[in-house]
Amino acid sequence: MRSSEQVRSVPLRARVRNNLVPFGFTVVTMVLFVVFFVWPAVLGLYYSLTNYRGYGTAKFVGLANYLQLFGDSDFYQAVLRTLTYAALVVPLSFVVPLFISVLLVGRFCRWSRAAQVLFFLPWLISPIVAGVIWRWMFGESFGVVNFLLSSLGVGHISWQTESNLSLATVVVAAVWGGLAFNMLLFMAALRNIPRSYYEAAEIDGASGWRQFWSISLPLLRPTSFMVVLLSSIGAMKEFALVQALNGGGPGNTNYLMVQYIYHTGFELNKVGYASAASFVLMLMLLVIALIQVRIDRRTELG
Amino acid sequence: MEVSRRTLLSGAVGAGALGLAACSGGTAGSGSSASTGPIQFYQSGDANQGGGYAKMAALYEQQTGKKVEVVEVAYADLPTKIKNAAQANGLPAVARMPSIDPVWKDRLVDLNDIATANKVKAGFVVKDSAGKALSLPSDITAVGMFLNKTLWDKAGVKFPTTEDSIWTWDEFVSAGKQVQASAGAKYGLVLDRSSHREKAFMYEFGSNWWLPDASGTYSTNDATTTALNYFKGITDDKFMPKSVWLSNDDPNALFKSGQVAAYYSGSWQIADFATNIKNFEWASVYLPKQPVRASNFGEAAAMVVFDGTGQEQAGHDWLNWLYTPANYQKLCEYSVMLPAVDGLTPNYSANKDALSLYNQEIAASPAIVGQVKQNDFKNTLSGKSVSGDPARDETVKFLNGQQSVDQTVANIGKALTSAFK
Repeated sequence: MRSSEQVRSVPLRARVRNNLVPFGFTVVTMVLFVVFFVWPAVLGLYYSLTNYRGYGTAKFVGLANYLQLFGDSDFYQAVLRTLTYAALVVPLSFVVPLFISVLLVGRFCRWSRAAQVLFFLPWLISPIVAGVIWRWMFGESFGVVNFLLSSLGVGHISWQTESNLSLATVVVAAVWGGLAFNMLLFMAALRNIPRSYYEAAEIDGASGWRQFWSISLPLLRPTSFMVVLLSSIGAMKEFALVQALNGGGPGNTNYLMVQYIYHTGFELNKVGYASAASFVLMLMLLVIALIQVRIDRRTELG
Repeated sequence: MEVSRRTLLSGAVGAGALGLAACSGGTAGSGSSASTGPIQFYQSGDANQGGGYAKMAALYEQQTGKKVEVVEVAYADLPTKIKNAAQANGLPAVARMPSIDPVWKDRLVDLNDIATANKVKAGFVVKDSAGKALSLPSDITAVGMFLNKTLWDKAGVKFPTTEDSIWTWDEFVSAGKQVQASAGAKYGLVLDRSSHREKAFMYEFGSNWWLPDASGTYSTNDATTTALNYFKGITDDKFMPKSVWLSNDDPNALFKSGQVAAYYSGSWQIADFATNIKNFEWASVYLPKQPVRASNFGEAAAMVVFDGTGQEQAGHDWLNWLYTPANYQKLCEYSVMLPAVDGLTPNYSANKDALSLYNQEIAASPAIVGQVKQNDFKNTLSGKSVSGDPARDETVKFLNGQQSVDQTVANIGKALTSAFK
């Protein structure tokens, strides 16, 4: 970092060049950010304070939407279900891709390329299509999973009409769908760890497990942080997959927060109320992200 | 590292909130507002229905030299599209809408002359308090039941083929179970996930659905509770799959798979079944009664001509031509529709019996069906509408064991009261 005197001694032209030119490069991003984020967000905040129904005039109602929201048991159920979902998806989206990445990067791996392509395929499918595929596989009446299970004599399992099993199906589909992306991150990071560390550890007699635990995992920390952060935010916002897979069913027991927002906003036409719920969700996402940054910084210092 | 983390964070959170923060509607539809040139007719339907209108439009052009463009819009998008078009002053000339919307109900052309001249069924012409006819029924649809005849024949179980041998729900369910047992059908019945079908089911048990009293409070009679309990009783994953009502499984696809003995749906399926069911024989059958014989029927859609487009006359002329009995009969035959014009007996190329069965069901239905329908019209015209389907949603909660039958009945009443009072 330069001292303040040094900064002052820089000639004006250079200062302009150093400040304005970089600023110029950000203009496009800034405009996009304002048009597609700040403006909708301001509009959403305004709607959340009105009884807007998606058409006609919006009447200002103050905090009434928020008060109603905090007394709405369906909203709490959606929040709780979303947290449960995230609590299941995030650890799995961390462990499974990490495990597969370690296997694929490992020295003894054969057919690594082919395996990578195979694991990467789900990433190319839209979540809606993924949802429909899993819906068919886990269809209660004519799904292939129930067909196989009944052929094995296990019998008919209520994948669609028992709320915990329905959620489990969504969790599995989500982990499968997000596998490729997280795996790419982990594999790139694993390849960047210098081989010499492992060689040194091997000479010292460290087991494979010990090497993973003491070399790979600590050096993967920045990547791990990103995977956990992105997975948590992704899980909290999950919509397309659930909508296509079981529509938040059975009934409304598996409505996640975005589902709830969609239902109130677009099916019940309570746009103001849904906007209030959206803001609560945004605050929750902010809090989650801030907590994770804090934890990450603390472990980095400690 | 520090800076890049923070950038990453704000980026990630920004991306997270994007698209959630604002919850406004879609983009405005573009309608033609030119006073000359072809008029646009917005509608949504399958190949049969849309094809019927397209054939009629071609005939219209041949006879009069005037062009009508039939614009297909996805069913779920049509109301929003027209709503937005109304606000953006871009309405098409004519549309076939699921229902009249308060947003544009004041921007419609009076269709009384077409209705009287062509004997359009009066009970389904929506009129405002001044007697202006806002819409004409496009055609009539009615709830009805289909059987997989191949399965019933294989099991050797008889079903009613004349009006005097109509079965009760108890008789139908036990017959269906026999078919399941002896023909190896996976399920006895599937029933569409909609309060429209639920209404017909309830009428058959003597329910009055929910109607307002003088103060505007919606309530129902005891038969509703009986019907709901019966419904839950057969939704046991043996006779009827739970997945249709609880998690949106497609009943049409289940029936078409050939493994379901009966399908409780409606007349609009006939055209689809006629072309798409090849692997078994199907039949239309009388709806069960317990003890009331009832279907739920009404206008399939509302035909409207918009005011202020500069093409009011051209739109009016098109409908006037379309509803002329000779032309309208052709439309019914092309699209396999039940006529909304009195005194017509379309000469359907196939499935004549199935279609005439619906006419009998409509004639035999009790007065309550019309009363509920009239109450719906009244609400629409006073600018009140219920969004979504609260009766269906509350019923799903009941079927899923989330609430008791009494709570369900009370919640539906409450939802309707708060929407319409």
